[in-house]
Amino acid sequence: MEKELLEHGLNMNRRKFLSRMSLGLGGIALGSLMIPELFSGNGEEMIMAGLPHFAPKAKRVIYLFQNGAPSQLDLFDYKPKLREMQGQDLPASIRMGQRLTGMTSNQKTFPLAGSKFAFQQYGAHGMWLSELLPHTAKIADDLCFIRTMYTEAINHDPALTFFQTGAQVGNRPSMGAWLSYGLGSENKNLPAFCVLLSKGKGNSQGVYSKLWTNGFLDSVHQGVQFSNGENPVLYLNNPDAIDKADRRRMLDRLASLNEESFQTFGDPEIKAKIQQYEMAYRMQTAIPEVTDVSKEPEGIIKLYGPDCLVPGTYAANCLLARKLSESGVRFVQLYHQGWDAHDNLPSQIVGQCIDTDQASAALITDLKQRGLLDETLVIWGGEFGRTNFCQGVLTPDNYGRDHHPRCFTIWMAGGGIKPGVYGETDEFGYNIASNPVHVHDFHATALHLMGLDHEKLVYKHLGRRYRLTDVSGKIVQGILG
Amino acid sequence: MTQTNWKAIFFNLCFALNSLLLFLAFFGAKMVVPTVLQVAGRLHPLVLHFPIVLLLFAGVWALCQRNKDNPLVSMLGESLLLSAAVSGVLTALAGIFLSKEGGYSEDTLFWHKWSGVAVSMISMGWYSFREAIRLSESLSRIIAGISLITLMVAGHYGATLTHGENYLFAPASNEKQPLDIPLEEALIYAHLVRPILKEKCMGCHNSAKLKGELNMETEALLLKGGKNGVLWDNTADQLGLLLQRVHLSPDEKEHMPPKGKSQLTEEEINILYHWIKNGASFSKKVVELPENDTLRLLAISRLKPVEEPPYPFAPADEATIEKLNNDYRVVAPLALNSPALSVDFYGVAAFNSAHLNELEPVKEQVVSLNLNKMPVKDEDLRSIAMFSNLRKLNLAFTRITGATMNELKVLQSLRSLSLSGTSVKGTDLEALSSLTELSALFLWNTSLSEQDISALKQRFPKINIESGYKGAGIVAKLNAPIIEGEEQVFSSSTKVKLKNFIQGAVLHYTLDGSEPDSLNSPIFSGDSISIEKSCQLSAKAFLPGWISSEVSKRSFYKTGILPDSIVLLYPPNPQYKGEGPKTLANKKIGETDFRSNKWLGYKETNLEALLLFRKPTILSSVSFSTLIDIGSYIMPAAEIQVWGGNDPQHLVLLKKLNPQQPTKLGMPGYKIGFNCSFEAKKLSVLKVIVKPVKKLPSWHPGKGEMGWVFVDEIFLE
Repeated sequence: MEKELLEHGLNMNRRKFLSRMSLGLGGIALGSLMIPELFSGNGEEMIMAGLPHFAPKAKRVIYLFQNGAPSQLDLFDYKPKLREMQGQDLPASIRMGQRLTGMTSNQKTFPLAGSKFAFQQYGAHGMWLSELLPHTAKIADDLCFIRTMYTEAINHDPALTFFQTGAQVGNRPSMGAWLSYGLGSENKNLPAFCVLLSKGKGNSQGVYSKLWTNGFLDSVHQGVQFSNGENPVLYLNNPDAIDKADRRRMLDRLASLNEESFQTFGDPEIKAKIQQYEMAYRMQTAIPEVTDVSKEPEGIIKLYGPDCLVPGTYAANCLLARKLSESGVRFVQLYHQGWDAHDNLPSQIVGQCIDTDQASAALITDLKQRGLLDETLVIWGGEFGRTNFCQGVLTPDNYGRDHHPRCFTIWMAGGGIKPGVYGETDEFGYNIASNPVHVHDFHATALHLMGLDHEKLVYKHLGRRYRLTDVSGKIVQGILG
Repeated sequence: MTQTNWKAIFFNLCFALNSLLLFLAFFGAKMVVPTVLQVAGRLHPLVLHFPIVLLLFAGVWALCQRNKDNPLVSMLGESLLLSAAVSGVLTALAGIFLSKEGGYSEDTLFWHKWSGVAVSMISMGWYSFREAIRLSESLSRIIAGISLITLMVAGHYGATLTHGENYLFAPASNEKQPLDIPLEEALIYAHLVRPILKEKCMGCHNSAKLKGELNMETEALLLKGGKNGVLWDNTADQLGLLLQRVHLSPDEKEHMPPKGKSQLTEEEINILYHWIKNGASFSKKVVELPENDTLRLLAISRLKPVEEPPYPFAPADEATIEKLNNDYRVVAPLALNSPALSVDFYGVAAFNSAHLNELEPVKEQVVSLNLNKMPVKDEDLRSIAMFSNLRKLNLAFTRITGATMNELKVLQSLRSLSLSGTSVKGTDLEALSSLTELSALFLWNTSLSEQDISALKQRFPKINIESGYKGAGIVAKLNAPIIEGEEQVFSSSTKVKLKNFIQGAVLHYTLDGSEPDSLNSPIFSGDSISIEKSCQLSAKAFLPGWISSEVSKRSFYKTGILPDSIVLLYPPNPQYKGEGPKTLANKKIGETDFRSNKWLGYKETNLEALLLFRKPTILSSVSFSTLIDIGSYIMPAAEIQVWGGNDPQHLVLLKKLNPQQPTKLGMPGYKIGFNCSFEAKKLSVLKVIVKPVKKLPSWHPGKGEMGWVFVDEIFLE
């Protein structure tokens, strides 16, 4: 017995152990041959082929960003209760300790302020809309109103950055950059991601180029900001005495020099630069063709309103957005400033609506009559909502509203969207009663409509995989057609 | 000795293969199986019978073994065990390769895989420690027992994988899984609700486990509920216990299904919610629900196959697709792995009919063709007709006239056709009658009249005809003229141009502040207007068929006389200090944004300034260019005083002005000038006092607070 135990022990001596382990390692090595990218660390990037993961509902996006946060209570979310309780303090049971901005946190009371504008129901789904949006009301049956958007950010910059990039801090790629990365450009003669700015007369908040950044993605995915002047893209014309052939020769020579320095340094930015020069060359013919509004029929001018001929206005940008989108620009991002009505909201919002209502509705009508609406996703909305109580002094016909991230309304239309009304807020318009939609959910849904799985559209950076929705986001099935 | 060698070789092989097995079991998710091994994988169902039998024998052998000292007996047992271990690991590896072919239920596969790995590892472990194990009879039996049980588990899950769930006991139970129920026959409970409960809840709430004393297997038991009471109650807050538990945060202990178990999807929760809300009927049919009922819609989406039928063609060659792509023609699959292609053309100048014909190699695969704005001619429709599977065709703003519309008759899959902006006629569209799938037709901006459109709508009731927006008859308002001129302040004269973007708009203007009219006011000819003295330019646009525009206004100031120096008696507010005293005579007019650094702002103190002249100068008028922005508390001055004299100590009041105060909010910021004229006098010193409003009026949000005054320039004449 003892002898056998000893023998067994000796059987397991070091040499045996090592030789056996080598067999084990051999087995593992054999296995690793079958998983080629296990140790190379770039498995996920393989999915990127510049193609949708599944058949998309929409091919392009036009995002009409209403910068500064429009008041959902004066436009979309009808709350007669606030008029009944006008001037009474917001019940603590409703506020539930919600943090406030520094602008209202010192207020002793939070007097409820009903909208001074009249509401009426429109369309097959009976959406309540305020008298400020007569044109939007006409196309209500084409829109899906999401009344229960919410965000965590309470101030403009983080909220805006969150909506655009999926994170409150900067340096993440913008939504348009992600789509450019995931789907590529449709028209090789135009950038995949264009940005148009306009400003209303209301209190405005800044927009900055970080909102259309490519972040850690390749810089070809960066948004291209168009100028507000009569030439949307500056310096496209060849200087006097330089013709197209000269320009071509110059670019070819420049490209060969750049190629040389790429061979030396291997910096991918050099490649990006060569590509950008080439695109600029093609844009020299493509841009004038796309941006020329002089051939638009008179009906179009009346549809968008005569302002659409005045460069730099929201209406002009909506018209330009349609023209860019129909020419295959993947993502057209508009920003319209001036919605931040902390005071004098009634007067400010009237001006903002005059600037935006007709042109926003016109864009939908125009896409629809060309047969493009079903392949374009149009989004209208701000970065958060506004409070149901008054900031500053409440008078019978004047009030202001502070920032409110807990619920607000945006609308979407077009490819894959089911028109209707989604979600409900409580009778105070302060909290969400059913079907909340978070910013991440919004992103997940938008990507889904574009044929992208938000969990698969990843980019590896600083040792981890990033997504537009990062680690969250559910597709909002209820708004899908 | 030879026998030992034989055994050692097999054992070593077995060890190596087990290492491989373990590795693949853990990291195999991304494995790419070579073709040869796929074949090996498919041998799994064959070889699996060896370890079952061999291990069964080895186990039974060990359990029944009495005469353990007999070398023959133990040798036979050892050989059985080794064969079982070797065949076991081979089977398991084959199984892993086979599993990569997919199509197996994930849950079952998981258990089968790991129990199979366990069988292989245990039999090898048993063999390698056989000598030690053999010494204790009870240990031998335990190991043999474990091996046999693991073997059975693995075998059972394997059988479930191939033969399907509940294969073994199906003949004994009378439950039948409904398959592909047509909507008309579907029951809400049996075909929507029960499958959810079965998949997500009955794993625990069944007659065997009875978790929470709840059994969901029959309708009666479901109604009875569990130890916490009945499952639903239409009058309760969240419609009762079931939904309440479902809606709890997944981290809560009470949340159902428990964390780690397969969770209900949002759609499933919705189904449960609406079923309970509608009274939790066990017999109601889906078609009994109203047309737009949420539950009905959910049911339709669940019962109907969601995926479109596959395209009836094979994918095109990738290299061909690649070759067809260029800067002006994009040919791309609809999605990864989709055989269908969409083709878009861009660049009017680059287009050529031949570019359509070049698509011949992919004519079957093209399902979407976008020729928006391209100079497509009538004869090109013949080329387009070759895309036999085309579903969507955009010919908007092309040059087709409709004469060759008949060519499109062959496009039997066409669903959407855009002809907006073309010159097609109603009669041409008769060709569409043979297109049975066509559901959307876009005819905006064509020559078709209202009557034509409504006739078409009657002719094709199934087609959704979009005629778009009609601009005619709608009277819009012109936009106000744009005043173009850099200088608002000039010394001798300045040139100004007017502009309006609406073609044909006539621009009338005045220079005296009155509103321009279309009869008497001069027309802007296109040449610039020369302005020689301080004035206000007003311009208005007129065009028949349009509402005349608002009036655009701009003040122009002639500098005339400049003081030699300016002294501010009180400093301006540090936030709005402009360029100091010289701000008032730097010829720079501020913008309506009060933050622009061209304004002097005062609140607590008056603006009091001394304008000094080295030589006495004849003066008769002082104008103040000021800003009003009521919302930002910037009001007109409460009072403006102008004093003059020959030295600062001896001044007389020349003029006092109390500007009109606004009476309500609501105007955006604007600029306004105030003029103080007095009898011409020779002066060396001019003192101006501009007093801010002391208390904002009661209608103002900041009532009672002090107002601001903002001044950017003072003009002397």
